Amino acid sequence: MGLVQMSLTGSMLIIVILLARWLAGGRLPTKVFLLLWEIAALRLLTPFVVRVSVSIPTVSAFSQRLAANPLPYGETTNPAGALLGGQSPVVNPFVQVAAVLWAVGTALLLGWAFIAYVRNRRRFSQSVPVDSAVVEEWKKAHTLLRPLQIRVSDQIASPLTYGVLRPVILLPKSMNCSDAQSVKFVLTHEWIHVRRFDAVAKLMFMAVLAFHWLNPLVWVMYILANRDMELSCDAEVLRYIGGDKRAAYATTLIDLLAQQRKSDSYLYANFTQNAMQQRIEAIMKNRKISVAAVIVAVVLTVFAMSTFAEGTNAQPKTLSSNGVYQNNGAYTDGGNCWNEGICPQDSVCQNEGYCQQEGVCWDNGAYPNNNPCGENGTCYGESHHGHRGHGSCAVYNSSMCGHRRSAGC
Amino acid sequence: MKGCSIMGIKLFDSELKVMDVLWKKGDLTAKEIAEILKQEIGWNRNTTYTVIKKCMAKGAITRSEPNFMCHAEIAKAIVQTAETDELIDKLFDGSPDLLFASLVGSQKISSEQIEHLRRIVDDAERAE
Repeated sequence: MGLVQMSLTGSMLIIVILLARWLAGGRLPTKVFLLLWEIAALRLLTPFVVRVSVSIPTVSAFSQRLAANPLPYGETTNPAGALLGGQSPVVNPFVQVAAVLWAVGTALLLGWAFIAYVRNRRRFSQSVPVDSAVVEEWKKAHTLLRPLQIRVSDQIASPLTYGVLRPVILLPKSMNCSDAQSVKFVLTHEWIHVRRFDAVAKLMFMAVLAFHWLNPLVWVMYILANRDMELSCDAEVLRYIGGDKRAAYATTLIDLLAQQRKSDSYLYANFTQNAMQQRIEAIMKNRKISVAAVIVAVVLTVFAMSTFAEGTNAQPKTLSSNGVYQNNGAYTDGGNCWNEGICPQDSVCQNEGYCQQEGVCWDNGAYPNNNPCGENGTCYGESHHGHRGHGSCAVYNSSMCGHRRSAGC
Repeated sequence: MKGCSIMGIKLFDSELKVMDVLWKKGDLTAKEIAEILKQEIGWNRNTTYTVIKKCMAKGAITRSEPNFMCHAEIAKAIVQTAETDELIDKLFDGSPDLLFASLVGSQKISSEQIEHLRRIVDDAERAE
């Protein structure tokens, strides 16, 4: 499955999730959306497909058709080939430029992420263990299978967590550790992140952004997925500490925000303000989850996971002896046919999946090196000596159309 | 930032930890400092060495051979707390919430906006 097809399938899933979030966001638990985003992210990162022997139309088959059609094909190797999953377009310069642009963007984003990650981890490792009875007591009451550390740093502004095998909850020095209730709220919130392996999900979303940065839907997904990660974590905290503490919890968050320095960027500040406001409002709302909502959630999740499946078409494909395919068949031996495997009646499917009649251009076929098709489907060679209509063209081994000299083309 | 200013050197907590060891015990080799800090706060040797180098860059520690002997150049009294403001720091270290699960994110918002959020909580409480 090429990157474009992955992008299309993923995009369709993102659109469905966005619709669900818009129509039913208030009535579905946010955890569902986080799960859906994670499935979408996996879909966008892995070319993995499960072949299901059921004849249903699937999302991935649909996007495969979309991905296969619009471009002319030929034979060459270039980065655009990676984009389109092996079907390499040669002639379209637009695609080549887009491919290079994509590769540069991805390299920059991955590079930045790697450097930022390493630098931050190095800063974090310079933290010191926390010295607080409240924290010790909390830690004893909240154990994990993995060893958990709680440390303090004067180089961070907000509590955070890092580490997968040996997770660490890092508290900022500016935090008031004497307020026992606030400390417990903060630790519980981070503990839930640790239990859910959100550290991994965070990196996964960043990876998706790095590879699919050309797709604006993926930017939307990145922003919303991160927001939903925090919103669902807040919801779980409230379930754990009790809904009656919601005002105290909300106040703790606001106090933490207030301890950071004042903003110097108006634009940046409004963006955060939006996110924080959404969180505070969600915390203060008393939402009941209905059975109907759970059903909807299950349906959505099943749909999301179905994007990993590819059904087989109902009609069996038959390969006749001289390689002519009937029934809009696709190759069964691993090759690809253009236009879903339709070859015009008299033409033959070659190994590479190109339908050719000897020297005759197929109506919709594009030819390598932009050899134009003249009338009656005869093709010109590279010499363009105005041959038209007379001689037929030879078929060269790489399915290039050229001139047969002796035929007076 | 290299060298001292009249106002004193600005050090992070991590750097202060290293200085503390030297202030308490006098001149030590880097290896000895690393061993002490491993016991006290669990730092591995690379972390300690990195921090020692940062102290050296700020002029707080000087090194002599043999054995990477460290000497505290400044007295405790004139040290102030540091802040990050180099451009490189801002570019890579400024938003850890992009890569790590953070409670409130690293962006800062204005006091009016803080008040607005508090009002939301108050209004919701009163509505119940």
